[in-house]
Amino acid sequence: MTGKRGQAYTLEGVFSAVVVLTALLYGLQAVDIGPWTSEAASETSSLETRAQDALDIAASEGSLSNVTRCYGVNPESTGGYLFSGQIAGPDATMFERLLNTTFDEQNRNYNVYLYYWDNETGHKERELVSMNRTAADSGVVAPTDSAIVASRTVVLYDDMPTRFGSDPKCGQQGATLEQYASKYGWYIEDIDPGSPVFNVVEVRVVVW
Amino acid sequence: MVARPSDERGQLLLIGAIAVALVVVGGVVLLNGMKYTDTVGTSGTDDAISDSERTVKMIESDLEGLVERVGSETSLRTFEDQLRGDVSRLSDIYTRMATDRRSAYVNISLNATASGSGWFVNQSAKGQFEDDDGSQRWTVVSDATVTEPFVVTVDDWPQRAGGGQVSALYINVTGEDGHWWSLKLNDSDTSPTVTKQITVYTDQGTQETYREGDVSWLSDDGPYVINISDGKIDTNATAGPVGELWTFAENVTAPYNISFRDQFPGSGGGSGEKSAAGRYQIATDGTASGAIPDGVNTTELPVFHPAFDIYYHQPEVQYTRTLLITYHPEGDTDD
Repeated sequence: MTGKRGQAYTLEGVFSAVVVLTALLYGLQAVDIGPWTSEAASETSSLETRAQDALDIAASEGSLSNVTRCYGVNPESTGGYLFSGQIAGPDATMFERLLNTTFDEQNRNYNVYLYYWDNETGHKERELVSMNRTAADSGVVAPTDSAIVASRTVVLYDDMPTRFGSDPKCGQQGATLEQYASKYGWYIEDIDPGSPVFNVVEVRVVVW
Repeated sequence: MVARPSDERGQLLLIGAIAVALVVVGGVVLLNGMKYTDTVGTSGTDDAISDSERTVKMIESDLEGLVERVGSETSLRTFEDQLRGDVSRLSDIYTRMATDRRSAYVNISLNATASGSGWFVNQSAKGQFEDDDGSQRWTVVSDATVTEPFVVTVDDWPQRAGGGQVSALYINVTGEDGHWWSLKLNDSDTSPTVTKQITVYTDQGTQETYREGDVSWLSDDGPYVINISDGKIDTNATAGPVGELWTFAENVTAPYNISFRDQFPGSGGGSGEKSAAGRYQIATDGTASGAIPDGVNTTELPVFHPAFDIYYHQPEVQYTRTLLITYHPEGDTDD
């Protein structure tokens, strides 16, 4: 057996080892490591589903539209926010109660934003309208990295009534959106006066 | 003497090992691909599909509200143009809002081809309820599922002919399954007092009867504006429409045909003998008869039940859907 032949064996051995190791590493990628890690990922997914469902339910039974029409010039007059996220009481809106049940009672924090369309800027105009009850007295709380975002669009029409009132909140109906907007410049803008569409609002919930 | 293994045999074993390793690699690559596609690879697409379905569902409910409102603000003739414009603007705002949120594009457009067509039949001047050949029994509309508004204005109430023969105007609705619904306008034959009366029939028998002596709104000389589809009547004697007196096409399965029967056995020469005369407006998704008199305005409406194409595009998914909305015009039928 010559030395040259031995070197060839070594090279072949190394090559085989590389092939087998590559196969092993590549194969390990397919292993589901979910059970070995924390449940954070699945919790995030479940939270997102819950937030989306809450918005869908609120939209289908009309409370989401009611909240978007309960627009005030001076949010400070209601404690800084359109609704302050108190524990659902007799004066709470349906949407508040839904948020309380879905998130507060699960010890989740959330912020709710309403984005009204603004024709002048061609962008959405953001209004922070709510936060959960634990943060209601301490100002806006920044979401953590694991926060999820769920949103839902609501179309408002000219003939829909404005909502106002404090007991119950947003419980009374006023003039139509079109009438109100033509009278008061500060009110939500009618983005298309020639059409029945008044404005398009995105309701966004950030939960963490 | 023991034979030593040759170098060639060792080399063969190594080559064999490499071949086996290659087969293992091939198998792993294959299985890995399958597993990856099943777990990680499709999750992004799944999310995108779920997102697109949710968006389309939102648009669907918004469009229903828009169609209803555009319909109430326009006439049937301008409905399509107005709706097309409004949907285009809504689509524009939707796209801009969606883009603000994620890399997505939404487009909504009216699809006239896929929309359900209809007809608007309008006899605006006083005339008989007959077809163009003078036939007193004829089908005005066939294969209808929605007929709104359906308003008959009776200027001349049918008055019974000589010899006590009944003169009446029937408005009949006959369903595909044979069930029928009918409204009869006539003079009662409770001699010597002749009173106007309206009777609602179905194939189950008489449902309601309203007589001049029993209800004040029939003691008027007319005209009588009868909203057939809403079951309401408006006369000079009433402050507003009276109703709801009946349910249109009760127990009749769509599609149905609408027919008039102007029963007038007299010659018209006798004292008080009179056939029913008046006007009518019918908006329907059925087909208007070819026997409608020339004096009656008949307009085809390409878009009665509007269909919309919804196109949603995200990097992971493209979603196209055509959505048909059933429209109930209810009121405005101005020319």
